[in-house]
Amino acid sequence: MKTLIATLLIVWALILNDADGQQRRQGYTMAERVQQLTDMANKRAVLRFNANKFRDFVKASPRNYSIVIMFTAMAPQRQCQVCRHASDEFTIVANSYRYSQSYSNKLFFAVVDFDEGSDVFQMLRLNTAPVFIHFAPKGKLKNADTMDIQRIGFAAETIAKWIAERTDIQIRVFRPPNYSGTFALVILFSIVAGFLYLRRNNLEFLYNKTMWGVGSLFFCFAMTSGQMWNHIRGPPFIHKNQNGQIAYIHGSSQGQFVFETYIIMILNAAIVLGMILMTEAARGKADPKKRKIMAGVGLVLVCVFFSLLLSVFRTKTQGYPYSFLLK
Amino acid sequence: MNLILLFFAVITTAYAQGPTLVLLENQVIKETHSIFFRSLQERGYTLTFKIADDSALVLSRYGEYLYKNLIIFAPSVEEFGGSLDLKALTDFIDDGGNMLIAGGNGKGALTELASECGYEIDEEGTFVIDHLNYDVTDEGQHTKLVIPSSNLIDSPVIVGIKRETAPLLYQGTGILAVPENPLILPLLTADSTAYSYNPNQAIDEYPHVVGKSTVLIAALQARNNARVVFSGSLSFFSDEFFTSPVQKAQDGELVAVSGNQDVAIAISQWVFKEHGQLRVRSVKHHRVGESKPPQAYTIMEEVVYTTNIDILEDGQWKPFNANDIQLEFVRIDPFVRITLQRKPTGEYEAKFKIPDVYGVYQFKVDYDRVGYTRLFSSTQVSVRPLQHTQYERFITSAYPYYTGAFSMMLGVFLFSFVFLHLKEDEGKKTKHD
Amino acid sequence: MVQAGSKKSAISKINSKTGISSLIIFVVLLLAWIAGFSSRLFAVIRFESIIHEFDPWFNYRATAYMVKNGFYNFLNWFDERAWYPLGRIVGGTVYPGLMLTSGSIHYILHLLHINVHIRDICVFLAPVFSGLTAISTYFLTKELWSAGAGLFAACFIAIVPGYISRSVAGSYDNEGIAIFALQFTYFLWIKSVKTGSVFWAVAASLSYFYMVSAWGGYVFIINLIPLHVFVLLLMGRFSNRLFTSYTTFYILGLILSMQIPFVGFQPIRTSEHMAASGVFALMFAVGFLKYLQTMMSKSEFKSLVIFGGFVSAGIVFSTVVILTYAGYVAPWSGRFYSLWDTGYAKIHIPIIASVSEHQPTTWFSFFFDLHVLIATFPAGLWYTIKNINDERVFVVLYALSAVYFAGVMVRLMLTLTPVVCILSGIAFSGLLELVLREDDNVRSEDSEEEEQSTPNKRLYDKLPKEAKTKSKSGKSVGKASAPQVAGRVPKIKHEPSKESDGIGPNIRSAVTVVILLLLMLFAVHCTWVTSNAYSSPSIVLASYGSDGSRQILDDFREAYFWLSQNTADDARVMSWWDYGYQIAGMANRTTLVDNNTWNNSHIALVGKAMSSNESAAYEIMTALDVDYVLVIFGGVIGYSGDDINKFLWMVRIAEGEHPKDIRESDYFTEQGEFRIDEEGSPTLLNCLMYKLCYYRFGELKLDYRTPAGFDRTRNAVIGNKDFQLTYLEEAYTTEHWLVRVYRVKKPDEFNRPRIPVANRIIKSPSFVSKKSTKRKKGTIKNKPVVVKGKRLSTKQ
Repeated sequence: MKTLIATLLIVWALILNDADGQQRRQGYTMAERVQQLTDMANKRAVLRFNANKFRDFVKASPRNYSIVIMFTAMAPQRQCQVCRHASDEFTIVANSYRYSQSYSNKLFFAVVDFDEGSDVFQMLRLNTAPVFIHFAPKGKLKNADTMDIQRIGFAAETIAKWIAERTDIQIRVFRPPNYSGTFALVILFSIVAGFLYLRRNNLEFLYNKTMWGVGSLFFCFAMTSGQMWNHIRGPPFIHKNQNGQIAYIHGSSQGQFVFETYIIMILNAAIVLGMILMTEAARGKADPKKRKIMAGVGLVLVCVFFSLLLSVFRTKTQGYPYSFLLK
Repeated sequence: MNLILLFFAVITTAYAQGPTLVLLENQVIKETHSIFFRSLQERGYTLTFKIADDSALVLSRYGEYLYKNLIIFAPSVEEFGGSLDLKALTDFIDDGGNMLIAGGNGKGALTELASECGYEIDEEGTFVIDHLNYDVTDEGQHTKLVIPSSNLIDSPVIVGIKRETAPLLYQGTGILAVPENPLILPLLTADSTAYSYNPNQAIDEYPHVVGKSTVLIAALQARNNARVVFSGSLSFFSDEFFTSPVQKAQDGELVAVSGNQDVAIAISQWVFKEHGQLRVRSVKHHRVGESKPPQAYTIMEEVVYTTNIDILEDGQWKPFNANDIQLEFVRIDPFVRITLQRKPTGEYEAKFKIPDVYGVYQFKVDYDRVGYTRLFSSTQVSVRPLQHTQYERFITSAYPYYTGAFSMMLGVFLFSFVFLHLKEDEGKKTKHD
Repeated sequence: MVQAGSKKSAISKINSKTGISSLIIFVVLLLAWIAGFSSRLFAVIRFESIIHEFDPWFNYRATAYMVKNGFYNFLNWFDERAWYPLGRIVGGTVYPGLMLTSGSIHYILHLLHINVHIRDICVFLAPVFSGLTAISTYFLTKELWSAGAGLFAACFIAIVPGYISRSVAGSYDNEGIAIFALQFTYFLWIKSVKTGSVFWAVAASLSYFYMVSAWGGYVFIINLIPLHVFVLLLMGRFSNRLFTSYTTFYILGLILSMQIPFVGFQPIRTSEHMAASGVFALMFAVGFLKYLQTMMSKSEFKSLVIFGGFVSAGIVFSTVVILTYAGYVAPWSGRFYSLWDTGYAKIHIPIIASVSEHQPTTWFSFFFDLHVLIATFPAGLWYTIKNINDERVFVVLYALSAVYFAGVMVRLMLTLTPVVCILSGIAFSGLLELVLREDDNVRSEDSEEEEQSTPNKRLYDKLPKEAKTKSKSGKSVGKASAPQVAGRVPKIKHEPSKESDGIGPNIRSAVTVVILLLLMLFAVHCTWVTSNAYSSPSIVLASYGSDGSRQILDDFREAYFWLSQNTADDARVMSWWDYGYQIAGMANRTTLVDNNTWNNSHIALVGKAMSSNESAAYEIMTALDVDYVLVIFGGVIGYSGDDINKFLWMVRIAEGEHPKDIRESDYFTEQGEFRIDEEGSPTLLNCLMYKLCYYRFGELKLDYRTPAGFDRTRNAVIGNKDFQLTYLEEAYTTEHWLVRVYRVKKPDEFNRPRIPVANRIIKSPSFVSKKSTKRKKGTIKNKPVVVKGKRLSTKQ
């Protein structure tokens, strides 16, 4: 989806931008190019290419090195979040290659930003970002040279695996170790502990059962409405089919939409509320009128929302015979 | 006395050999190759001579083969008569029949048969030509070659002891054999100066075979141990070549008689399985100190494996004597590989310790040597881990734990005793108060 | 009966009421048992008394072995017919509780000279135990809340689909008895926490021992109970009762659980068990603090307990971490790890991700398995939290953890179901108690139990009949129960009731009727789900024609029987691991891989063989001495669970071990889709699995509408139609092509190194035969004198 946005933006930009025609400088010899690349790579693992550099180092032949280039649009006005993640992963791979013992001048990592080398995009007929392309030392571009991020994604490990497939250079990915989670946990614990310590004289709020009850009830609703499934499978929020109308409920019993799960959560909550209201009404010592109303409301809640739930369930099940109140 | 013994020997051998069908191009060949045929008959083969295109030819009747061996001395046959087509011949091989084929190039049955057996005969009209090693009696085309006996395959079982065999005479076509194919044996190869081409034509393309790669006599031992020998020249077996002296045109020292006869007879003995036929008579395996195999071995056990291997020598199975037979104990990969020791009793034995890995294993003996039939025997046994009673009961390193446990019990007992005692004491106290 | 009871004098009333109430409790439980048992019999009635799908077949085989050879031989059983050539130590890799249970039942019955075949015991074990589960659930809920709620919970769990799914007759699997053990252990634990007596703690640990011997899910217990204790400590609810019960339970449970060979040293070596020991240490720390606090003042007491708890927890945690890094403690095993990091399995362990019951759970399956309970148990949870005490803390934690795990994995719905039943029971009984209350005297409790139990009783013992005709009798139940309640309600009015009667009788009756309707819906839903979803023994398939006629597809057993009759006794059959247990159990042949997926690399080898081309596969198969290959092919009848649909998992598992040879991307088209028609990738169209499934399928024309070679499962015409198999030959194909068996040719069947015409160097002109039927004479080129030759030959 983000890629799609980026696509549109770039297409629009392609129309506006006139490819700035710098005159072609005469190319270097291969040795010079390798030398320059090595120098640049020593400075920073990921080289930034603009159109000229792209011509000099990638289009020029002969080459005895292969280049992996990420075509991206990092400029803030493009607002391409995917590009940021992609470039992070890409940089991780590049660095872990740069500082590995298998480092040589046979493989270089480069990035071409759309705003610097838009005509490169035109030249390669790219209209999405990010794109990873591997330029082999010789031979034309095969479509296996373009990494299929739709299917395998662009995690650093997959990039390394793909590079290993294309050029037999094995790269062990060293992620900069990420202690943020543990830090957050520690800080949270310390805050809680400190808080308890400060409030140690009146810890009554810890014994506020309503708070705990509401919290755990919410947790139950979240789980029973399949939020975990959403978290793991990442379904669309709602489904909009080609001729416009929106489906809130997934047709089959195998899947569900995010919005659908929210509906279910609300239905469950309403039924539970109804039950509680009825019980309270029957137990409570308040004035009968109020309790009558409470009981009535609870009764209506249970009936209506359970029948709703049942009908939603019916729509997803083939040949389910039963229903309550409404079909 | 001697005579009687000899007679018996003849009888036994005569019984040993099987019926043989000889397909000739014409009756003349029977006369020109009489020595070879006679030697066969003396060795007890019952030869049945037929013309190759006889319309009554038949190999098997009612699913039973009438012959064990087949000799084809019909170089220019294009199609056999009767029911004898390519399929019948290949079935004969696949069912274990042996064949000796001599000569024959050109289109038709023999070429097909050859390539069914994995080698090819050079084109029609071609001869193996060598302008350096040809016989003095050659008529100018340099096709009657003198082959030194060192070009024979290095296997006494097939071609006899090659050192004392005289040079060989050869005249015929060359054979292409796939070198990497383990089933094909080049029995006789030409010299490095030889090539195969039609002597009557000018050489305008590169010959199919040149030099050492020119196989003159090729043999196939199929996986079912059926043997097929294909000689490029028919005259190799002829009386003329058997008896004629050999003298190279250049630097020719004259040898009184060629080695053809010895080699041809040796080859015929091999191809008809008189030589180099092995079998496994029996396989026994058991734990050390026991006599019959358990239904499952346990890991780390000493196991004994014994086997009897026989070789067929003029009609009887005699114990085979070799020191390079190996036993493998295989579970996907061989875990143990040792050489079987030959005991004076004539049986082979191996003692080894089962590895510390459970699973289903196989005792494998795979003995494959040039000239001998392939010897393969595999016996499956299962190796199980230790039973719960077979682990050691008291581990020294666990004594602290034992002592801890028992001292704990003791302590509890004492404590309870003391506890009860004190309880009573307090009770007394309370009474007093 | 209540009227009868109410007319008597006070004392006798009490006695009789207690007697009657206990009688009613007994009757309700009995009927729940019967209802639960009979609603699990659909499969037996429809098909036959047969063991169901995959794992049960191994359990059955193991049980039969144990009954035949005795327990110790079973303990030392080395099964050389599984995982050829590795073999499998069955005794050490199985939870023996199931086999022991049915084995001992068999033994007792035979002592009484009741000759029952072990198979029938195995088939009916789970339904019988469902009744025990109901009873233990009753006791647990009774301890937690009240007897009325207990009866509700018992009736719920007797028929709830979430539990029936694993315990129908014939699904002879660990879960069937494990849930009983689970509930019973929890009951005993609660009992011991309440009483603080060593006796109950020991009983709990014994029951825990049974659980350990029965199911790997015991880890849930050994983590939940320490969690309970820990939370109690945090809440400052430390007591000597808790101390006694937990320490006793933990030590005994630890020692006992280590007696199971399969568990062995895990309880002290793996992280899954570390929480228990940590809490054990914490317990002593807190006890020590308490002892200190006896000298201190009340104010610091609580906080210091809490901080002591935190500190010691931190210490224990750090020690565990250190031990883990030092290697003394194994880190989380993948199956458990995938519970926390939910994306873990998908990336790292395809063999876990490939199993359908390890998928996360949609709300649909929650509702499908629990129906009204899923919508009402939060109410019970609410009231449990509202008036909390030691043991209710337990059920709250149980609910929260179980609902989380059930969200992560479908199969863990099983652990959620009991607690949902308990809490809904609490909710319903709490409501009905109040709604059906007539007066505020002390005795009313029991009568209400009668009240709200009788409708249920009526409801449930109707169940088997409802199985036949669902909705109609369902309504009749509603009618039957509603007036009976309405008949009770008027009594409320003309009793002198003061302020207790708050909400009017109409609303009371309305509420009652609605609740009963809901329960009725629940009952019929359970029956429907059980009969439609959970009652097919997946080895016999049934297809229904348009006219409702039923057609039985018995291809699996056909193929297995063929194997057992027509192959050598030690023949080795290669198939995907799903069918290993069935081949071993029904065909009694050696298998390479089977359903306990303990050796990933071996499975990957089979996957590699299946997903590489024929010649490459032949090398693997000869290395593994494979004699037969068995594939499941649903293309003819449109059976979706066949090997082609599982194929991508084979590829992934193989890729995990052999990334050089197998690449998943090769099996997709350029557009990255998995298709079997002409557009399919050549690698797929030539791999062994494809060829074995579609061999000679191109000639088959299913009906006049579709072209030849039309795959009904994939709805496509296969891409690679007429091909020949070089290294295998078709041995057997069942009636509906569901199972296809192929024989692997031995090397010596390739006798001669034939040179095919294509790659001959010397192209000799092809020869045209001159022979004919009458002229049998061959031809010899430029043969001079044929006639002479013939005469000579005839002369001979």
